[in-house]
Amino acid sequence: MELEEICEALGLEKEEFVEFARLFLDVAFKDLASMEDALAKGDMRSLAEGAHSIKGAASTLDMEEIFILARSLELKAKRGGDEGIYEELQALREELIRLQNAIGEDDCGKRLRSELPKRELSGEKRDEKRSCRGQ
Amino acid sequence: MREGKKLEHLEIARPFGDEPGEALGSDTSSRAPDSGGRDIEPHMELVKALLGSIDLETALVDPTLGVIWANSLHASRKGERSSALYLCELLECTPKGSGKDSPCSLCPLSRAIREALEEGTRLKRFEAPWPPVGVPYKEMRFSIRPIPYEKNGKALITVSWQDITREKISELRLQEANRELEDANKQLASALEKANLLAFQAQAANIAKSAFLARMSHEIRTPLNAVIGYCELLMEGKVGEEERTHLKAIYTSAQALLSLIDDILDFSRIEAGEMRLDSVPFDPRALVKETCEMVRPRIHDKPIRLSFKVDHKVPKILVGDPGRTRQVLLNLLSNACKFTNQGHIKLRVMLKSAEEERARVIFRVSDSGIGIPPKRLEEIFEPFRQLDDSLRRAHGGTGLGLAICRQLAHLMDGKVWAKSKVGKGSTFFFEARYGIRSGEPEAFHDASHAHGPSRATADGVPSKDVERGLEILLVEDNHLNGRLASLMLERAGHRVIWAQDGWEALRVATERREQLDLILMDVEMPGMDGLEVTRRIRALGLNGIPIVAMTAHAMKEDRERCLSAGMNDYLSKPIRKDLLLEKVDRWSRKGGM
Repeated sequence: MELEEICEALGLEKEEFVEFARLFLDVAFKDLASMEDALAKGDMRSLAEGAHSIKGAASTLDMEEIFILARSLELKAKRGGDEGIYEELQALREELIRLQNAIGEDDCGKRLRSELPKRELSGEKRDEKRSCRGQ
Repeated sequence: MREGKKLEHLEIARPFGDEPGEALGSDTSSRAPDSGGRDIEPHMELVKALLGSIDLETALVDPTLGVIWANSLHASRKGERSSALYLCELLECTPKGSGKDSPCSLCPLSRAIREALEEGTRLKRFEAPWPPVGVPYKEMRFSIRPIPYEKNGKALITVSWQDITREKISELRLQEANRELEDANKQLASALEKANLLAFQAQAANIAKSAFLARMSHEIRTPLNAVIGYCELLMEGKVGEEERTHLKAIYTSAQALLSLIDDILDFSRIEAGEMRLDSVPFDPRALVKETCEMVRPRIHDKPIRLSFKVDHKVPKILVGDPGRTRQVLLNLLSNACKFTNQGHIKLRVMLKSAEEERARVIFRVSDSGIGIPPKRLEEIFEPFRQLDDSLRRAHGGTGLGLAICRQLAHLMDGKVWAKSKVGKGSTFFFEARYGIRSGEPEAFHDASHAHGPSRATADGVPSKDVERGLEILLVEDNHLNGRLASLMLERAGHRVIWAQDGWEALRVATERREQLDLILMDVEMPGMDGLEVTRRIRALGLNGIPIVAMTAHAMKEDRERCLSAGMNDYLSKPIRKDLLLEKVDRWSRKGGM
């Protein structure tokens, strides 16, 4: 969705949406750290819980790339295996950092932007995005 | 994690069979450099300089652990030993011979060097209890690296080592502390869960008691109403004087029983914290006038003058519960009528204090009745305590009236008390806190058993609640989703109580059962999920509150699971404002089940 569309869908002003995006990042980075810790300990249950939390919030804010990664991590963790999880955690971290930069939340200061830059997904992920919209 | 990051690109070394010792890593990215016959001797000065600059204790050895050069020797001894020196001695371990089965052949250091040379690893790290012969008393970390030189035809290896005993002890202590902390956390979580369960059970027991009382009240009222009704019918017909007297006795007793049921139910509900007061604007002058008119017939033919006065400072409109206020006044006035044979009964209303939006009002009922002994002035407010048996027989009463007055006054942030002189009369005081508001009061109506703001009527007409906003319990464990949904609902004028887990939801649902209009229940929550919470809410008999599921799964079987758990409807996630408010509005009009 465009920024205006998601703001309207949530009943938020743009500035409020950015604040919620910051809140999302605060919580998501903490969840991500827990998930990395859980992976090191082999605790797939905690990893799945962290992924579920990120997935739910990302879905609400229409952050589809993050949603897709979080959902994949949740499914893999629930299946019990850890194949590919490390790489996906890295990818998730990159997406969160990208979002952080996009909303101007960096170490040097704060800048507000009116648009979130789009990124072209690879073909596989684009199809996955289409197939699970709204979940 | 620093170690982990460094080891990312390294292959983890095989553990050494049954030997103690923790492999840290080895580099097999390429084979160890072949010495190719290069003698170290021309380069010894450089080697010494390099090894001498390393902070750790380091030695250059051959495959038999014979020391070519060691930086600790260099620092502490002049020159090189003339006799052969083995690394074991520097490491404070006594060599126990050579050969395949000797203890030294099982030494982790020897084996590591052997394997490094055989496998061609560039770098091998490991930790091991030390010494390997005898009783180990410390922990050592080793790094070994074959180098592309030889001496006297023998391959050369650099070995660095470090005593990490203290580090290991700290690590073990930390692990132990973490384990203890984890155990303590588990115990705490378990205790918390037990406490929650006990609180839940206590609440469930309380509710079960109230539900029992309510059911019993209905079961008893129905036949009593029949008795009263038939008495009235018979008394309207042709009956003899004696029969009429008997009928009146039956009628009076039935009325008294009904009154008792009402009082017991009120008392029980207030005690259980289940009574909620209305908060509506009303005219205190009109209320007082109507109450006095209701009481007047109870004076019968006694020469008593009943009057009332409301001070001019009392606000024209008060905000509070007129029904319960009337209940207290009726009780005080009825008692005055009972225990006064002649003279006066006066009701006066005074303003004690007023702030911006609040006022404290005192109602004073004074009579010229028989009076109350001073030592009984507190007792009369206790349940089932009346002056004495003869008065009870003469005047009836349940013994709960003043106890209920005290409870109601307490609910209104006030109190009741009395002063009296035997043979002269009594004065009862009732103080309560009310809101102040300008504008027209709503028409007062009989609300002697008001249950708080009513939900929408069954015919779908929006209730006052929709205009005022609903009280909604939002059950959502996700922080962002909970905040966002709360914001959406509050902006639409609703009051939101946000519970972040199943236990909190159960607690709120039981405590606010009379006030809640709707529950929005996230289905996928860790621990107790939304379906289980719903089952438990319904098991408590809370069937009047609609529950709407919020779920990301909208397949048919998911919906059916929600409905079988006792939910009324579902809302798909992700949350969207229009759909959320539309669903809330739909269930506010249905008014429950």
